[in-house]
Amino acid sequence: MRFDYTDKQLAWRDELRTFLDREVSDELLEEIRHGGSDVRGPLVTRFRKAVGDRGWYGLNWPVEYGGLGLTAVEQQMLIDEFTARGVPGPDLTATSVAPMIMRHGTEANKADWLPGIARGEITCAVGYSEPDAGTDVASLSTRAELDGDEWVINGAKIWNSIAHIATHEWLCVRTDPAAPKHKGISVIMVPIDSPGIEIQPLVAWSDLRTNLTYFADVRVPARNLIGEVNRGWSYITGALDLERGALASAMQLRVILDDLMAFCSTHLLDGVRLADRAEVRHRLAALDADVEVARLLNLESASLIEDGQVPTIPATEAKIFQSELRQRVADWGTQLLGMYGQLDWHDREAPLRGRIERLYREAPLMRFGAGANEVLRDVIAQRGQGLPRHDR
Amino acid sequence: MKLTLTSPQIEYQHSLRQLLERECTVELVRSLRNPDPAPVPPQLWSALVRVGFLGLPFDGEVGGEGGSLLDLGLAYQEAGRVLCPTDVYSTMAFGLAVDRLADDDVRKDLIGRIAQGQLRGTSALWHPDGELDRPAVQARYAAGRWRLSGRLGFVPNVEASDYLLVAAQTSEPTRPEQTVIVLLRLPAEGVTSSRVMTFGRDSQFTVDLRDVAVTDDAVISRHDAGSAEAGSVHWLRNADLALRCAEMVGGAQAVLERTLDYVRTRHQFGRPIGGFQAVQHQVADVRIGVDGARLATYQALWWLAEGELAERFTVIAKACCNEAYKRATLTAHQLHGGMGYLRETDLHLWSERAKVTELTGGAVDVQMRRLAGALGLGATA
Repeated sequence: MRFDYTDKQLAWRDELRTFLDREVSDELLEEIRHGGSDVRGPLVTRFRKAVGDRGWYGLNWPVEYGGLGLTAVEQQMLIDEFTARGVPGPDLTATSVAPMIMRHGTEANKADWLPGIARGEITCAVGYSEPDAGTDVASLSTRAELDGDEWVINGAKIWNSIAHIATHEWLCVRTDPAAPKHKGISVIMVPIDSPGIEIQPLVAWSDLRTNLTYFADVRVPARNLIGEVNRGWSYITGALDLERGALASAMQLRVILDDLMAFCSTHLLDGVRLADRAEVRHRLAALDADVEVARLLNLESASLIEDGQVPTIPATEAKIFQSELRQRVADWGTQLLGMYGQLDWHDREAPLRGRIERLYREAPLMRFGAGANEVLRDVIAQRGQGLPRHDR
Repeated sequence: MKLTLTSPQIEYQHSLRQLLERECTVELVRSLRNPDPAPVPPQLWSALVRVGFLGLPFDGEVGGEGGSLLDLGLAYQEAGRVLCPTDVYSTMAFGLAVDRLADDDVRKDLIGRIAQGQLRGTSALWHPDGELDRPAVQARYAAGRWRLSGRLGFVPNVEASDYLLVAAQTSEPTRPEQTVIVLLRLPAEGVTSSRVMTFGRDSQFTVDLRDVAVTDDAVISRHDAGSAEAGSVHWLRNADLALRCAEMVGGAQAVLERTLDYVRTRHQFGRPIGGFQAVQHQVADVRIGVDGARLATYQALWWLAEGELAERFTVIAKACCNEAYKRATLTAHQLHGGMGYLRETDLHLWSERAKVTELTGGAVDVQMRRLAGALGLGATA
């Protein structure tokens, strides 16, 4: 057990910081600020290429798959450093899709997809939810049928974020309608520019764009099926476990909270220094403690991965804790700012350039996304503590 | 960076768990309570000696086991699970203070005897709610002797202790105020104690010192505010707090396990109540709280073992443990219903300990005030 970085890890952090010092410009940050994570402007594209050129999207993959052979802790450090600078790190394609290809994919799957993902050239929208299959993903009805050496796909996926900027869709489809619902599901990689795909934008309260994507007689080569046919459910749940872990970097909250504390200590709001009020200090301290706990929960998951374990329960705990903390940071933050807490980030007087109000609108997503927290509490109780399923 | 325990640490915890489950049963815990607290049975004490618990954090050269503060914390966690008599904690806190502050002769004498189970001690070096205020005891120097006077509240296990380590404020006309740490051999002339009635029925005392005369030999530390030795006292206070956290984590884990056992087996409406989602969500929330508290506690202990003050990490750990332990017990009461409410069901023993440990070393307001200070958020006014 060790709560400090090793010399090797400190050298890695230095390398990351040197890279970010060189690559992150004010112009890049402005592009991100105005575009959000759903727009890939020219500067973001260039930045992603610089990251991909170093192989950092696959930094914790085994060398045989084009990775750098670093550990989950080092990946967490990269995500933290990138988040601290406000630039995008590895997305779900690298952190959740690729590990499932490594674990379950055929040799052809690995050769087809992993090198491009490691370089950042392949990015996937993840096609799980459908208009009638949300939290109960296993009831999905998008169909894929084999026609010669091609899969023919028909259906629709919702909450299909980044479909409009991705190169591929990591698509979950039903390949055996006669089988029980968990046993007839497969995963197919679909080039997003395939004929028959129509992407309709949906705009969330957070301003971010997500999509409703239609598939009408979309044809892809048979080899694009991942692993074995009808075995896809375990690939999805495995990927979702990893997705929860990847979503849970506490660094964004750390940065916002540190900036909020600095604001309360230095700025006068209507002539008042907020940190002079005991109740403000008390609330900030309570948030600081919780953000620290969120960091530790993530690091425990990363440590378990390093030990060769799949940290389903710790990563699930981290996801619940952090997503609810995120809402609390935003809620308390807006309250501390009083009437200024409602100022939209476009308003010139918005404290902290409106990041708190944006966080307030972004936070609900993390609570219901990647497994609603209610379902995840069931996971902890049932898989983690051995309590019976509700129907038994 | 590695937040998982090593195999030897896990094995040590496991063997200690087995020993304590055998030697520190809930029947024993209950028998040690009011009205007349029985002394801790020699069998338990010698078992603790045998596994090296009482010498764990001390160097081999003074008779200890050469473990770290984190190792001791892992032992406290196990002790907390079974509600180990608090004599263990007060003696270890006493030993840590002697080890840190006293000269080598005193260390060798006292630490060696603690490790062998031949000596028990207690201490009053800061306010029991964790604040490092001016000591409540005054020390005047006259005719070659110190004379101590004052009242100490909530001192644990005084009547079972061979020594009391106490902080006092000097009061000398010609010199600025200093703090002296005095080692009192008990019983001592002028020292009286009376037990307070706590709802946990543990042994806490109000101690009165009336003109207690000691020689310079008894003063193991004399220091100014802001000095390195004052820093040592601060470290001791944080180490004690972090160890208490480890005890709380263990207690909370034990309560969660009891609760799980109950909701798995208790049937209502034709099924185990643990199958209801409303029950499962409460269980999940307790688990998340306990795991966060556990990690925060290990972090504080690890940095303290590195010699750091770890002010922020210690306070965060205490804030987490306060809430996690209490929530585990109160959720346990809700999920057990009447079956956990009766005294004969034992659950209340943990519920009382959760509240006592929350208040000792400071509840949430104390922790948030300290944390705000550690974050540099102090008021300018």
